[in-house]
Amino acid sequence: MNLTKLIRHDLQCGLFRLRCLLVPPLAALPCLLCLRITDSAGCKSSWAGYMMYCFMGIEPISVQDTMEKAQFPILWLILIIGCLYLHLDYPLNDLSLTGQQIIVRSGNRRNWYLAKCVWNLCACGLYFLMVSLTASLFTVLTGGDLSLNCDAAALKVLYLGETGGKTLPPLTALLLSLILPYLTVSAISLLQMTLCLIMKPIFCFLIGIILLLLSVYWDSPLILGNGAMGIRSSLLISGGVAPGPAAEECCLIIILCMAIGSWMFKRSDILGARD
Amino acid sequence: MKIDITHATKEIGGSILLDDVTLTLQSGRIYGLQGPNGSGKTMLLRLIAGLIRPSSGSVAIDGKKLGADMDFPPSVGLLIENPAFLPNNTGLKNLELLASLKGTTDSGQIRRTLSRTGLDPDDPRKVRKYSLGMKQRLGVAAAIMEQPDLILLDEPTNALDDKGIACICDILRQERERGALIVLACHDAEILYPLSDEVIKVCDGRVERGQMK
Repeated sequence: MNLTKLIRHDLQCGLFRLRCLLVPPLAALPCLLCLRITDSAGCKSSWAGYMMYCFMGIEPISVQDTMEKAQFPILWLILIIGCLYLHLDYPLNDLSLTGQQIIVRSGNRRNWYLAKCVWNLCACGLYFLMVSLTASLFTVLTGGDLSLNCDAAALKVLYLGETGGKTLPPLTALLLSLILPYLTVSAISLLQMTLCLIMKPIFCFLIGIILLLLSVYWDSPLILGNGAMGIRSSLLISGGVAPGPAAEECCLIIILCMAIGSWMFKRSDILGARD
Repeated sequence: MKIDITHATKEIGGSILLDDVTLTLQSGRIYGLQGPNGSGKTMLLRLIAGLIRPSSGSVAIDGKKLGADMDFPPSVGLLIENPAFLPNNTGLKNLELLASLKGTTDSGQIRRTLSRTGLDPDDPRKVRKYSLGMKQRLGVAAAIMEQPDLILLDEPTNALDDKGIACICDILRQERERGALIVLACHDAEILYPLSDEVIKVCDGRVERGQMK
């Protein structure tokens, strides 16, 4: 059985699930806050503004900063953790349902696992699409510009003046608001799926959360979550995380997780829910 | 088809689930696995299906080692633990979905298999509305629809009434006549002994060859 049939099956059975309905309310929280901030400043946010606010994160916390001064990026964290949570259990649930029938028919463990990796990347894509649609809805309802333009006034208001009055080219806005957060979240989600091969899903989920918390307090580009925080990008602040290496790091982790995971899955036991 | 299990031991978390199992199984025969709960019957089925790897020893199918030369037996139908299907699809749709992955079975064959197991192929009900017995019949149908060379069944008569049990026994006899190798785990000796060509007793992970016809 070829890989495409397995991928098609996973996309049919695992992509559109009832729990996806949780995404718009999750995405609406930062959008509402963004709307309140721009409204009080008397300007309107574009689609890119909403998206960048969703995945803004917080500026690097320096050693001199007191904890009272630094705001904890709770909405950013909820939005990213939401994605990790939604994609935590499908592969294991599938193995305890029709997955065993499918995997023995496929005759190939590696293909089954790779299909799950592709599903994971697509499911993260769907998550970001739903966040984008929620942001689009807010933009349209508030009469904002449904585009990648992010004017200096809105940027200054939303990013609390950290950008130094810069405007953002559309491609940069796309990179910071969609591409880098997507790659970062996909990498963490695949890492979580790979870890599920050796430990219980709840512990893998906790590791993902710890990684995100680490990235909040430690702005090293090596800590994955930093790539998903637009405000920490070198395109906005000096000494920030360079987008190129951050994207490369995410791609490397995605590839490594696929390779190591399929190698491990080939050797692991497929037990039932009872075992 | 010939299956050779050689000194296979399976240990998980310090517990020995299968202990030095050595068996040879041949096509055209029904092998019954008998033993108390937790004796290792299901683990033995999982081992033959390629779902678990032996900690030591090997499983070979027609001389090819599972896990080294291939991941799973080339032609296998299985029902292990409870039959699990997509609850929002009909029985027919579930089987069509499974069959489409391999592409060796047409819709007519699937419908005939459903009828053989006593299910109506045109039943519009979703699987979530099925009774336990109907799910069990569907599980057996999924295991045999592609006419596999190897059929592994774990308690296939669970939740079935007398008529259902007789139906499944008839199907298994027909599959044996076709030349399939059938391994069947069942705690009910009244079903297992008349049906099996050989009964293999499983106790604490060890096997003991028993009655042979």
